[in-house]
Amino acid sequence: MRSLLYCPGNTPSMLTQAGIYGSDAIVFDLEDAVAPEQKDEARVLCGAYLASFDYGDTSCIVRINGLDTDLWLADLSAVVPSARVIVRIPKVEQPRQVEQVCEALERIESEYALPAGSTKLHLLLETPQGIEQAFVLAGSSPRVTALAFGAEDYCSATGIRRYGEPFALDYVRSRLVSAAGAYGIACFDTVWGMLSDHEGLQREAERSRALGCSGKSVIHPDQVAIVNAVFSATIEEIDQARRILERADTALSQLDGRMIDAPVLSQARRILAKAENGSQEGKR
Amino acid sequence: MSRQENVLGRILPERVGLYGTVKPFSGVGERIRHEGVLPDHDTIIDQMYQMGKQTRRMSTLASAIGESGLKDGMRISFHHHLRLGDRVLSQVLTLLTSLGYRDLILCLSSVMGQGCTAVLEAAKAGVISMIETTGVKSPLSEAIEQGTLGIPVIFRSHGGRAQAIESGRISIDLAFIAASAADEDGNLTGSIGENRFGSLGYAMPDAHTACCVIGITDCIVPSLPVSIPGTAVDMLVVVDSIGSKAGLAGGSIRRTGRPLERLIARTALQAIVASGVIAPGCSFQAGSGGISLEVSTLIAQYLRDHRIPCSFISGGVTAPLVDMLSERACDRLYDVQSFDDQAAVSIAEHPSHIEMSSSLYANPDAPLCIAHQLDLMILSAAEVDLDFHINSLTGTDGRLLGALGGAPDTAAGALLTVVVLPSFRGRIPSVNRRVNTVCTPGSTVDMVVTERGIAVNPTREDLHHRLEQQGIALIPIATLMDRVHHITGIPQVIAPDYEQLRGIIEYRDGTVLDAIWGQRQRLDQLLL
Amino acid sequence: MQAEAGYAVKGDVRVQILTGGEPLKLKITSKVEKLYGDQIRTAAELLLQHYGIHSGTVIIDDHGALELVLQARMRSAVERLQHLQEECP
Repeated sequence: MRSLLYCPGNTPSMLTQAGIYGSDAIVFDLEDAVAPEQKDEARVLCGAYLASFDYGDTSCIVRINGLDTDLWLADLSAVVPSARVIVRIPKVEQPRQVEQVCEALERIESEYALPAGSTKLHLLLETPQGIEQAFVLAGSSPRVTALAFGAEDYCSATGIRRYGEPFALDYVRSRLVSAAGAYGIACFDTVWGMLSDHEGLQREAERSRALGCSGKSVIHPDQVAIVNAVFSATIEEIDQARRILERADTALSQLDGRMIDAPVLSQARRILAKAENGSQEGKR
Repeated sequence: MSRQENVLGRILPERVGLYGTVKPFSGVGERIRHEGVLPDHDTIIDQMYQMGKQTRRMSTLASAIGESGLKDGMRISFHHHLRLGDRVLSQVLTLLTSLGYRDLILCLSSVMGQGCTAVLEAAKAGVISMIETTGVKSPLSEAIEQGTLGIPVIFRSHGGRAQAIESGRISIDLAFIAASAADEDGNLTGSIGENRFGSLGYAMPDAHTACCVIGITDCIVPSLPVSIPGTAVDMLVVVDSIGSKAGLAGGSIRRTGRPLERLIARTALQAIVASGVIAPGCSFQAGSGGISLEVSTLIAQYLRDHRIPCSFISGGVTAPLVDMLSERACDRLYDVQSFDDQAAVSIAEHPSHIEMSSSLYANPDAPLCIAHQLDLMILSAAEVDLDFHINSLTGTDGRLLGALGGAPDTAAGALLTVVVLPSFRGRIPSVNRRVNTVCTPGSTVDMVVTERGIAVNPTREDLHHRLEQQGIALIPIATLMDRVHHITGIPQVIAPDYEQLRGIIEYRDGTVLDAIWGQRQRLDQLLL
Repeated sequence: MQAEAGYAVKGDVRVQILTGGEPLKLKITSKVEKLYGDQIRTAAELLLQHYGIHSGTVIIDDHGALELVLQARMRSAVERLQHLQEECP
């Protein structure tokens, strides 16, 4: 997934159009984008869209309410039975929290006769505690398929001035990429909040890609194409990956002076697999 | 009411009171192309210089009308270049009412804003007995829908109106022409003065043919860039104000801030580029409406980025197109109406920003008709159907909300006609089995672009083949419709009441494409 | 007792349920009545039957909601009503 588009969970007109902007995933937001008195309505509404609306091949992720609320369990019960969601847990700090969610998922999966363990998790790390626990959290359950970074709370807790300082979040990104890499799971970068500054978004996305992030969450449809372009393999990268794999077959261990070993091969395979996936998405 | 059916299967009346016999549409015939001769100016203006009228300055509108010889039952005309800012139509209609005129035929290039209220009141007072226009807005539109207007409305395209006037099929007895400035000789312009609005193109056939022409302005200057020469103007009246410039960029010409509309525009650009139509020397036009204006801006940017020279851009002219001309990214702008102040200023200053009459623009009889030289036309629409017919006048639910504009003319003339629209709005689907009202025949429409798929007219096998080769995903229009109806639900059919005629839609050749009928009242009305 | 859900905005529908009074009164207004009036009424009646609502007044103010949105809003209104009834029986 290159781009993950947030969509407020209680706005039907947006939920109806969320799938057309070319993002690889939609993040149905039950948390920050929904006012407290609308939480119950929003989860029913998202449940209805997930149960019957055609989003094609776009992945569906639901950001549930925090584990410090009395809302998250009802959120899970409303959306998990659709059998098509990934659950994004906000403000994760401790493996115990992941366990709590996993226990609830097991119950719901068994109640609705879904395969055990089929509901996957994205952990949203938004605090210094969460970031520093990244490695443990990434390995806390086989359900966890990605770490995601949320910068707002993190910046206010640490005093980092994010906008205008491109390097400010390098440490966090590297830390999360490394932790996610240890378990072979994905790492998604935080949203870019300056809606009219597309160049800023482009620069930030390029930086997070260079640091190893696999994609980036976005909060506006106009950001999708920019992020998709940055996180797609370039024609040169795809071409080189092809040549590397061709060499691998001929038992030559070098290409343009670069040694071809197992990691290089697997990287090349990953690029090609992604490109293949991307071109299918393009055709849709 | 005795009825007939035309070649599209549309039910028409045999006759309409003041309008007379209805000639059914029988097909668009061969695509007429005029290529290779791009005029430097509109020859209709030369002809007006030969008319030899002497302009008399009149102190009041009332005295000018008195002198004009206007009688009950005659045809009067107005242009809509001031768009939402227009105050002339309402001033004149109020005056005609107080002067006691009856049963006038009102021939408008279009009407919006305040003017709609004034027209409605004049109709109710019996001052006007028939309306000819390209579109209507609220509250006039509601009165037509509900059948309370009580007089027929004839809808014509811009080219159809010019054709009707220039051919003498309809004759204008008295034309009221608002101008943002005039000189002592009665020369009129729209491009200078407090309330400048740019091109006077829609008023030119009127000035060229009307028995009597009254120029109306709020600004007298010693000299000006002439749009309509005084030799075509009988009388000139100075009024306090012809309108307000603030309303100029109003009506249906907003630029879009909506992501959905921008997405459709980007999708359309990709398909248009893949079609191969964007090549050195190409020409294009975009109709009003947020999405098509966005496509026009994207095309302009594309031409610039790829250094592809463009021979001309026509139609409603906006600031981004003026920039194209300034940067020499295009050779000529043909301007029948200026959509913003930058365009209004430019038309007076740039020799290659050419003021064009609605006749040169779109009249099928005009020898150099610009619409027939277009490579690419981008159109907005309310609704399209499985035959690719476009409805730009009534909504899917039958509400009157748009206009024919130049769509039928440019679609007939352009090599590639692209319709851009959201596949549904709210819950209302805009791709349907059969449009409510045919405004532009499907045989002149090549491609429909929505956010949920692109469909190519099956008669355009060449285009279909080319787009597929270029990797553009296409779906049959029936599949697109099913996709949309799957989301919205299949809409109920609204049954027309063939005793209640609301209006007729003339094609540009004077035959009738369709009629707007009242809707049959349902016994099981949902609303209690 | 009364409960409501949804909003009077484009693409949404506001559903109000007021308890008390037989027979059941169903009042529907819709922006898309000409095109979807019958479908909205049928869907609403089925939902009320499904939730066992046979009395009171149900007011539907539709602004072009898709059918799945009407279903969700109706369900939320019913759940909210049940919640109220549990709190003060």
